[in-house]
Amino acid sequence: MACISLYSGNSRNIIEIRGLSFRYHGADRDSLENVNLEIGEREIVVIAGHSGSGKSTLLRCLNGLIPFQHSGTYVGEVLVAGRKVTESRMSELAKSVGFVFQNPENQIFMFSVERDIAFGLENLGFPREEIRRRVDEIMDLLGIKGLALRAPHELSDGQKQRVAIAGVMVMRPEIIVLDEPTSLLDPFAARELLQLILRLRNELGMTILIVEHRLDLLTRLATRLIVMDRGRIMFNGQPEVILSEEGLSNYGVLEPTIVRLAKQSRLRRPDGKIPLNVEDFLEVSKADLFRKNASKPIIPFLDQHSKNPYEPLQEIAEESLGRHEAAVSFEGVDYSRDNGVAALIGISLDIRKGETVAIMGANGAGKSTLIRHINGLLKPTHGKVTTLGVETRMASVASLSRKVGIVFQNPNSQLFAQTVESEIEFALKNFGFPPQAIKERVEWALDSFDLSRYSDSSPMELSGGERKRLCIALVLAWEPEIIILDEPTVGQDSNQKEKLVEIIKMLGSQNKTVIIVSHDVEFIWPLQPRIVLMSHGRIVGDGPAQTVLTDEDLLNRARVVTPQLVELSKAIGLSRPFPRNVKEASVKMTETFEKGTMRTRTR
Amino acid sequence: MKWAATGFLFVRGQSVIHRLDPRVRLLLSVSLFLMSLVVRSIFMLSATLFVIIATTLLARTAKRFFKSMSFAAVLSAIAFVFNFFLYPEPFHSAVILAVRLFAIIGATSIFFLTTTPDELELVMRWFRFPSDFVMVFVIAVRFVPILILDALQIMDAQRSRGLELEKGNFVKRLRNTTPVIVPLLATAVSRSLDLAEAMDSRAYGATTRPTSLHKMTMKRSDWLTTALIVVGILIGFYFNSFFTIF
Repeated sequence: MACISLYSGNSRNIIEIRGLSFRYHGADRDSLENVNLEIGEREIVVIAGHSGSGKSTLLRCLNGLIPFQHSGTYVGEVLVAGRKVTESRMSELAKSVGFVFQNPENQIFMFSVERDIAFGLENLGFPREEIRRRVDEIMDLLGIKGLALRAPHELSDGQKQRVAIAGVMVMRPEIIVLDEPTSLLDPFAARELLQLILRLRNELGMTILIVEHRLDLLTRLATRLIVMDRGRIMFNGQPEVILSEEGLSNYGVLEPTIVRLAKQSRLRRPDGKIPLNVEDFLEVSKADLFRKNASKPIIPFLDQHSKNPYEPLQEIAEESLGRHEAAVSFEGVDYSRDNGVAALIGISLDIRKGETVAIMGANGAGKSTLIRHINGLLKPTHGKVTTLGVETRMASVASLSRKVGIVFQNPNSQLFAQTVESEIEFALKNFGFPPQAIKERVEWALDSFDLSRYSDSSPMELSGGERKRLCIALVLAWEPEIIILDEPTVGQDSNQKEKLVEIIKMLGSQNKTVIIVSHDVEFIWPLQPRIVLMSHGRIVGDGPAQTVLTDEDLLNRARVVTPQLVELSKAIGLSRPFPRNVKEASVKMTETFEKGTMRTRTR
Repeated sequence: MKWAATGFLFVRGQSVIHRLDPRVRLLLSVSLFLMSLVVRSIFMLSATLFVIIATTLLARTAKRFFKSMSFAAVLSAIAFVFNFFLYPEPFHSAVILAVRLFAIIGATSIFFLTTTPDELELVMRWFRFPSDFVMVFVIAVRFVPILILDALQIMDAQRSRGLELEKGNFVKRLRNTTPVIVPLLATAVSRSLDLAEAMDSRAYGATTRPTSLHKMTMKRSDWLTTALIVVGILIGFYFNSFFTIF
């Protein structure tokens, strides 16, 4: 492929890092430890790793944020476009290295899109006509000309992130560095943004370094994948080489589904590398089938001895539920914001006790507004909401919350206490639990969520994942009957997501009503809950995951991406029901192969 | 709270007033302000108030204007009550004082209701305010509504944990704000750190005199309006010397 030759055929290194170690002021360990790295012109480099592995720190060494803005112990040297970072000014470096940050909100300062894009050039003292020309040019290129005069609060998060990219591109840097640019976007907007970045790179040919968890889109075009752990570079090479390695998930690498399926089915390309796209995958699986047929009896892909691992979990649950009473019911609910914008339109929805429901949709579809009606934070403009038999207009938020626990998206927007223990006590005291019960429940919560050793620490000392766990623990401590998780996976790495799956399954087995608000289809698909799909304040789909999440037209209209496994199953011609996870997919592939119904056409 | 957040968000307008150069708008606002301050008679004051209201109608901001002026009306009423009943002033001077207060607030709001923060920034730079000062102002205006929305999010989260903000006596209520204030401060600090990084990454401070994409230019209509304002002031002062009381 062209990009591979680009990588190997490079003559000039645009970034050279030699023996770089860095320790933040006051930290007890190095955030970077003896990093050596050379990156050629026009490369696309994807950096993966757990949170806290040093990815962001490494990026900040490239444009001088380290050491100029963050002080600490700095050893080694970094050369960017032939210039030594420590001997340059930050404003000089800004011309060669454009930096796009994670949070779209915090990198737009001005009140109109075009003024914000012009910010860098204004700072550098470019003449007005030149700024005008360049700003127009870049807005054209990114397709945001129509937004030129909009104010930041009139933009979606995806649009804000485009503006941020335009704001650095306008300075025509040779290198663009992106620090998890999509982690706060919904997957649909994220996909659009990544496609845009790749298109820009093809048209303008700059070097790209990107920290990103969604590898499926990037690996096909990336020239290099770097995996970091505890401040060191663990793997560094072509994606198909690195992804062939085992145990990558231990380093927080979220492997593309196709890679996981190939590994599960022990498929390799003739050159020993892992297939990264469906075409390659079909090719090698066909070859594999011929080989296996020659020396019959072995069942080719079956890894475990499980007979039929994809028993329909949901149906069993539905049967045992029977005609249970409603936990939550919405009857013809409309909700308009203060400014008159309709956020919910004609919502009618029944959620039964013990059910697990995922409310899905793009950012801004009305999901958060919907769940705020369940514990009465918001009251409907028309219609009514009944929670466990109580109409929410008739009850206080505090009394409803005793039965409805909401775990909000951002842990930082609720943790305030001096210690983890008192953080958990807070709600229990508010709800008037007796002291003995409070003590027991706090202990239970600390134990069950593996937080005991932090009981006396400040919540601020916890890592992002631990804070999330604390927020779940402190809600479960008061044993609500309905548990609502608002975007539980945002900002969480793969390990944490696995823990979340366990928690949700545990709650389901305790017959709790679980409502998950999420745009993360990859997280929701294996759980196979009932899906309520929202778009522009309306419910546009309601049914089992196998129906709603496989309807591509419907999903596209609601700006939700199709789960990778569904896409892959369709591409390789598997029949319904689609597998929930790669293990099932592998088994199902074997069956399909044996029946000889596998699609032989490659696209 | 929500009302305050949306109040800060500027609503873009397309009226003749909006199309004026922001400096002319400032001049208009300031002249009406001074006029309301110095005129002595009730007749002149009414005339000034008439111009203020006419301008608001021209700017098609009447709805927002009267919304914010309801607050001014209450202030004026209080001023009247104080002056007339408690501090014995003749009836007409108490009325004048109340109307004057109302007009002053009205004149000021003309500028702020029709000017985008971007334009305000340009005006500040035109007056040679230091660059850092202007940036602090810009960021403050940009982030106040965001912080208010943050605060609302935090209140939702804490109310869902059984916090009852309106419950108890004064001391209890004050203590109740801790679970809101602490995360709000933490969020604000983390936002400001992000901002600092983003600004530095885009060459902030590279020169002491940054250029600007937008430039304020006086069109013919702007000069005409300026002339009109000057004539208005002159006429105002001329008549002001005639009408001393009524």
